[in-house]
Amino acid sequence: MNTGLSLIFMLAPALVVILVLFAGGLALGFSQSLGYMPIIGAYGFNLDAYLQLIKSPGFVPSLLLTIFISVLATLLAVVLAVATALTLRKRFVGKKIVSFLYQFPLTVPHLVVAVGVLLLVSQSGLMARAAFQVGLISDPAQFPILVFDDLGIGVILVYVWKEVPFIGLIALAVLQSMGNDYEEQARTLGANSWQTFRHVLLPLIIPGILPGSIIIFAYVFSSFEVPFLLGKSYPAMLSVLSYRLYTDVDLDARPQAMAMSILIAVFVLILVLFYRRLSQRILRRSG
Amino acid sequence: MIDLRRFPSWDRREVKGCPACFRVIHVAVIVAIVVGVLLPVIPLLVWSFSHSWFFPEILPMELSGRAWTYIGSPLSKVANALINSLIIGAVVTASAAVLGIPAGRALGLNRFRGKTLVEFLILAPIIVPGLAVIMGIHVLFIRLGLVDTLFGVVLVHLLPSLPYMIMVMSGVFANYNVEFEQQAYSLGAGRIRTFVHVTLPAILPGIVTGSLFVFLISWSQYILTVLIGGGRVITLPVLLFAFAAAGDNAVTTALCIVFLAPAILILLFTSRYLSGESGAMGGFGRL
Amino acid sequence: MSSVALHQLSHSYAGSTYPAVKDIDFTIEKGELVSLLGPSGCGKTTTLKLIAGLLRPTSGEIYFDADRVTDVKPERREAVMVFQNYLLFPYMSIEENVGFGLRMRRLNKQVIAQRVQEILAVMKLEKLKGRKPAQLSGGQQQRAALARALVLQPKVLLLDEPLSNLDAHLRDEMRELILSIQRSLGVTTIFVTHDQEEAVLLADRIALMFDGKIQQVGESKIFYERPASRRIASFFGNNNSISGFKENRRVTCSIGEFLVESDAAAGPVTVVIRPESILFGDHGVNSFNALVKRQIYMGTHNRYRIDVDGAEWEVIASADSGADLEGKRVSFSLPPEKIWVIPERGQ
Ligand SMILES: Nc1ncnc2c1ncn2[C@@H]1O[C@H](COP(=O)(O)OP(=O)(O)OP(=O)(O)O)[C@@H](O)[C@H]1O
Ligand SMILES: [Mg+2]
Repeated sequence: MNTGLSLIFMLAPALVVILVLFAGGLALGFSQSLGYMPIIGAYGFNLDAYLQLIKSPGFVPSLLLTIFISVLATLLAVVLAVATALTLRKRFVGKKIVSFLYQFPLTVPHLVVAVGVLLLVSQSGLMARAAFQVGLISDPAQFPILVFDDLGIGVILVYVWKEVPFIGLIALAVLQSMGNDYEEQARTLGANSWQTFRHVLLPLIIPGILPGSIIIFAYVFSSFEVPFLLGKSYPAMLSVLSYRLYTDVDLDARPQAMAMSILIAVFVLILVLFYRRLSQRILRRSG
Repeated sequence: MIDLRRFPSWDRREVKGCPACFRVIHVAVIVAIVVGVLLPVIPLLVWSFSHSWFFPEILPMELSGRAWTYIGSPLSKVANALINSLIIGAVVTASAAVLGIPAGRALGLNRFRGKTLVEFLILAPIIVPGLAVIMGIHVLFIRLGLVDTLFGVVLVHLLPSLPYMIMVMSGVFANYNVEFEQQAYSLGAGRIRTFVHVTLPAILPGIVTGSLFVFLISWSQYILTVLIGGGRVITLPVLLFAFAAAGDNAVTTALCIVFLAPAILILLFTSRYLSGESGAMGGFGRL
Repeated sequence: MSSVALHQLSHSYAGSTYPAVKDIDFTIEKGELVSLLGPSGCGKTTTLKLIAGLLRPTSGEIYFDADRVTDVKPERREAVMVFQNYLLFPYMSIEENVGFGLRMRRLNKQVIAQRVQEILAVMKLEKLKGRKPAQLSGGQQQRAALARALVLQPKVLLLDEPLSNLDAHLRDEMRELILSIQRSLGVTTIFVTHDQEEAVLLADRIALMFDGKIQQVGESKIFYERPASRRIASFFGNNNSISGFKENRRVTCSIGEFLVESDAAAGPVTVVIRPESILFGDHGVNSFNALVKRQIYMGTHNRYRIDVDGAEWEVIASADSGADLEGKRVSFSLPPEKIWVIPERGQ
């Protein structure tokens, strides 16, 4: 469609911005993680920071917690997104309003959601108060601990609330683009509603929402604001550890902060590759 | 020819079904969407007007406009932060559109060697955690004198947001028929007229959706702003984070609402593009 | 195999003000191949989906043999529909596609494999069975879609324009294949098409549909010889018609008066005559004059367009005479026994 030269003109500006910022930032970060920090007169190239990190007692629990939270949040978001998309594609009274409400979380910053969830599900939050009013609990301490908890439930709630419409709208777009025909074809060939969903709709939706789910997985794995506000301080998610190290007054902690960020990136990449493999295998089997 | 008649006719195991179940589930999902979306928002609204509101009261004991008065006063720097956020969001969105639309077109319409690599590069900033990159960029920007400046913040906001614009646009262009443009040329329309009357209407849903994402990413960005802005560039998320961490619920929630309002306004105008027939969200399914 | 009976069947799509299909009363016999013929948008697909159970009728009933199936779900209807655009599931191989319905019925794996194998052989798809639908030509996809339905041994087979996406050559081949399979299985088949020639070539009977209503049902011959309305005549390519008023055996119209043999009741009528029934020259009765606007040599015959009181009629006559009539005024006759008279229903 386009000549090579015009292609370059169209792509280059965006690519330059991304390359300079991303690759440049990554390279500098990586070199710092190896101990190369001319500002403080450190010119080493070594793996000290990485070794110290991995050996530190908090690392493994943090890693496990991070994996747990990001896997569960992604999974829940995908399941709820598919379920809601299947419903939203039908006609019903009040669809316009419900669709608008559905899109609403897209626009709400994570920070705001975190505040909302905190005020909703903490032990003195709105839900606990409601539980008290109806006599389910007699003391705030009896309400389950959902924020600043061991499993990061509050953190997961925030991400699920926020990301369901993102995946759901992608699923809706996929469903809309394929229309009702495949479904009807399956029905007339003898598939019941569940079988139609399982063997026809799902395999058609999954490839479409795969990239989106990878995006949110990577985001949850590495973002920092929500676990900082709603997470326990020990073990904390890796991103929180990294931020703490980075803002430590002791500049010697800098290489470790960088090393942590690089490690997070490596973990994300590994898990994303694994996730793609897995979902492709599931997809193949579901046909 | 094989005699098909010897097939036993239409044998089928009974498959359990529940006709009423689907309707019930359908309604349940709609109710769940409405309730689920509104739940975390309710405490925000109520808290911002409350003076004292202790457990186990389900409604505030005393209402007050204190939080709103404070937010309105110059002391709180909210007006300043709001303006900063809006300026940054607008500039980032415009830049992402200028950079991202041509890039999306190049990717959506063409197949060329190295395309996978280019796509990978564009996706990388959203898959690879921002922390890993931002710490390196911080060092780079210190050298370039871009830290603590609005321009530096704008640049760094482009990193996580530009990929969204490109993804959405490449999805839109993948469904776009260039022959409409060629038809317009051959009917005597010039380049500009063709763009305005032919290309633009076709890709508008994509531009709107992409811009919405870019703006929202910039609008809710905390960590990049705080690291590059270094406490000098105050935006709403920076302010909110500080208040949330300090634990003044009334002011925090009032700030949350200020933070939400423009996003809702924008969604009011862009909602129909998100789940309409345009399929602009489908772009996330194609990379 | 079952017969299919439709009783006062109507369907309106949600949000639409007028029905897509209205008051259809029609019975298809056991083992019959009926063609549902009509222009685009007349409600053919809607009717098929109603029979398949994919749409619920707004009113009316559907029977397979003596069983009322109106409320039976599509997967239990024993009617299989093949869609116009094949709709092979893109992520399954051809073999998996063909076995889909059997798997949904939870049949034994070996039984499935064997039946799929057999139907693939019949449809000459064995070599392609491992491929994905996207790797097949249009004709092969059509055969696979057909195999996927036939392997289920449906009692009723519903084909929605199965030939419309094929090129002319493949179309002939597929038509013959469908015909031979239908004959050998004896499966009750409804074949939707908008092409009257296709319907004529294939069907035992044709049901002609306009505007959501079945207009006329019968063997193909009657649509040419005794069309129920001017519009039907025209759909089958015959525009030689004129309005008039019938009294006894005499019709008065704008070009004059002529004799007919029809027993139709007195009153306003439409008169139709086939192009090959019109004779040039004065043959004693029903003789008129007209200008020949155009003469086209068609190899075995000549086709003429003549101007009859402003309307353009067609005449087909043997090419033997060789005379060039174009631009001349000629006389022509309408043999009374060949004139078809349609009473205008009082509107
Ligand atoms: N899902 C729908 N919602 C609303 N109206 C519809 C829908 N599907 C079809 N219609 C309308 O119903 C009427 C009949 O449509 P149908 O698809 O049955 O026609 P058809 O005879 O199969 O036409 P074609 O030859 O073009 O396939 C048309 O006027 C069409 O616009
Ligand atoms: Mg149709």
